[in-house]
Amino acid sequence: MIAVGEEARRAAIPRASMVHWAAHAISRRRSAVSAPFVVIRSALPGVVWPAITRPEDATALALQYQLERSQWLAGDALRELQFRQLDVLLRHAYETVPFYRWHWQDVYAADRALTPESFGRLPLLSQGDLRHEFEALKSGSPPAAHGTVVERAGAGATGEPVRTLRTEITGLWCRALTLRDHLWHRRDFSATLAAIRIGAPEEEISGWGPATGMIADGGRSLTLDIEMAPEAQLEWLQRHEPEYLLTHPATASRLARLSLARGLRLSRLRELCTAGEPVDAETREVCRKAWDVPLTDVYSRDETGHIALQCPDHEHYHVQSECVLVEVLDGQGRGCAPGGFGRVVITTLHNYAMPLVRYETGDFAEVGDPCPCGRGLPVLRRVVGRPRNMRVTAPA
Amino acid sequence: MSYPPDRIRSAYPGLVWPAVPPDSGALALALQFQLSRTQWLPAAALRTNQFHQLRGLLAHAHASVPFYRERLAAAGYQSGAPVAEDWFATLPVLTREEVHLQGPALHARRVPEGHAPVESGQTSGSTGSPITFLTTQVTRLFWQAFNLRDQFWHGRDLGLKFAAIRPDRGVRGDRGVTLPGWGPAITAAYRGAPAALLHSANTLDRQIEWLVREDPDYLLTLATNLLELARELRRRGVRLSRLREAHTYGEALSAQARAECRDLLGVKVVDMYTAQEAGYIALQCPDHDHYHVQSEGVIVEILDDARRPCAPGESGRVVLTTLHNYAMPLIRYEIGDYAEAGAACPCGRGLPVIGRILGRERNLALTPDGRKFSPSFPAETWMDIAPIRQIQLVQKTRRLIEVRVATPRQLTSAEEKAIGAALRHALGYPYQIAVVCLDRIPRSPGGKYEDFISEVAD
Repeated sequence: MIAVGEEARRAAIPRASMVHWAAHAISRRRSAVSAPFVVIRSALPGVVWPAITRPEDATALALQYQLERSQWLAGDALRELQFRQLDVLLRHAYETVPFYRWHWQDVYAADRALTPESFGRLPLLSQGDLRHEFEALKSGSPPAAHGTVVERAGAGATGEPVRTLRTEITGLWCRALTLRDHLWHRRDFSATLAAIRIGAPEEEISGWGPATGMIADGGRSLTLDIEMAPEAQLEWLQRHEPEYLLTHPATASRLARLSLARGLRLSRLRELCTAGEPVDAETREVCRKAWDVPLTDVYSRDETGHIALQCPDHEHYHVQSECVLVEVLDGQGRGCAPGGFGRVVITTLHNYAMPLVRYETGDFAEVGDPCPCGRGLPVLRRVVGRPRNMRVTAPA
Repeated sequence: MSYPPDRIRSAYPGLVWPAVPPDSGALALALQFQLSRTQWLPAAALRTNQFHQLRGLLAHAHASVPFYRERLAAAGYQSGAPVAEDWFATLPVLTREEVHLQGPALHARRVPEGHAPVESGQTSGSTGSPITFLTTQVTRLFWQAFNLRDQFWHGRDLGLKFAAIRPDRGVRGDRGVTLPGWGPAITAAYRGAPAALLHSANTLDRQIEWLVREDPDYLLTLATNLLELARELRRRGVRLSRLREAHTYGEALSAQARAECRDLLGVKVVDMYTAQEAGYIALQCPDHDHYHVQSEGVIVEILDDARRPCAPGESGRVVLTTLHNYAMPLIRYEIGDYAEAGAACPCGRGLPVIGRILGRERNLALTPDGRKFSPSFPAETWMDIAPIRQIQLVQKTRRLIEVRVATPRQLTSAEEKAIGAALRHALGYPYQIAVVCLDRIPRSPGGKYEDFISEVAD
């Protein structure tokens, strides 16, 4: 009987047509031609090229291999795959998370096929729920194979702390998307990356941190506390002359203004990377004026991890559909069409310790048209939200 | 479907897509991540990386392989030094005869950690003397990586059915076997899919009966066997309804044979160039009939009679250097095949191009004035003259070619004359032709079939 139910569920999920795969194959080639060459560190004596890596690095590259292909899938093919993952996750959530068990009783049937319509009937999860129902949102039996479960506290939309649980699998995906961001933007791993982040001690390490641990291009990264005075931060940047700067948009904006006021330039800077709060046009403009480098933003949240990365070719964002299902809902709770502006609602696809299903982030976004770059990952034209504590993802 | 995202094996409960594969699958996909990028590197960058890898291999060969200690020392090799391309090109080639004679002197006294276990094998010897070779964990891993690349290059759907007819030691008799998957190269990372295997020693009758029953989507077999199958299927009016691609290996596939198979079967024909002792040498380009050298695993040189590199369009001897075999390094190994160098491929891949693989030196014809060429005598030149099932040309002298034909009856002298004239025309030289009628032309013990054999000494 169970097998029959399983088949029925699978049968109900629409299959992507061959046309999509073919289209994807064509665009993949275009991307592959422009993919930067990175030197992978080999762990096996006598083999330097192509590298045979440590198992954990191989896993990271295996994910990257999949991500490089899945990004070109057509929107509905991505959706089909997301729903396969979602189907398994929702059953886990319903079976092991008390909160969902209570709240989904009338709207969820584990033995019925999951469809976009049935998913849309699940209630939204508010930040209040997350704060007040923390215990009830924990899975009673996260799979042991997903590794150690850790608690993480971050700031919610109202500035009050919000706690979530993470697993080693969510950590793996966080690193995978950090690496994807680097690869999308063709960053040179032999260069210096400076990160000005919350609570970061002033230090220097070789390499760019755990997400890029398998890359042997010999770069270095530096960190500095975001609370330091802007003058000291600018002086530090001038001293180290990094090629890449990663920080909050607000900090970037302050530093850009200070650079302009003092007539200082960061001569080696190639790219400004921001995360942690929405970037407005003014911030982009002042940073461009001060340093004349591209600004690349990441849309992520403490509770969910990466949500969207800036397109390699445009200023808008691509939803990271392999990890999160993003809905942008209008005032009536309906999905917005391109051009529509609405509330950002997130479902995390791999967090089995504390699944967030239809979590209302408090952010707002404008849905974009499909991107001319060819990626099937949905587009967010802009994201607007309340400032919050930043989670800089690299170096971790 | 060139990317089967939902078929990657997941090692973690609850993770369906994207999958987090088990270690063996992760290793396989980590290599594919690299290969998917290295294929687009410019030729010069590929060379740089190859020589970076070669540096360690030569140091190891010098330190651990008695034969190379001597040979490299004689060439002025400085242990561990970077390898200059022009110096490398001066190293003497290693012939098949030397490999045969040197035996264990070519085996490393030790292999680095992670390369064991070392396994021993022997080439079929169907078209030359058999050679004993060693493989390691690493060479087997790269074998699998290039196998998987081939699946991706040609957009095979890894969920469909695969059938192979080949001289596989693991399958005896006429029944064939069902396999749980397409092979370790695929099942390391992907979920199993239907696969079946039959020994190629089976008669065409039996092969066809088996194929019709198995009804595969993909068929892998020796090039000449495919041609015979295709002709026989057509003669009987039998169609393999699901077949979408025929995949050949192990023998030179001429342009005529390729076109004939394609026409008769109505499917794409994809060839590859592999050798048991050297691994994957070249794969057919996804967009063309020519081949791309698998530069991440092997350095391929195509050398003329003066041992100079052939220019695009020229044919010469294939000389290989395997980059990862630390148990039995093959450095500038003259494998005994002839191939035509190709020009850079419009597909954009930087992997060097082999235009055609011509087969063994003994499969080349000699003109009356002593030049070698790849003989072509497609079926349409002789099939309408007489009821010929098989044909084999054996060059006895520069002027005399014996034509062996398998026919149900003796040919008339008019038919023999017509065959002689047709072959002289196809080959382009006024050879003397002697026709010999046989019941059947046997394959070699290794299952290969040579349609042209030269018995003329150089």
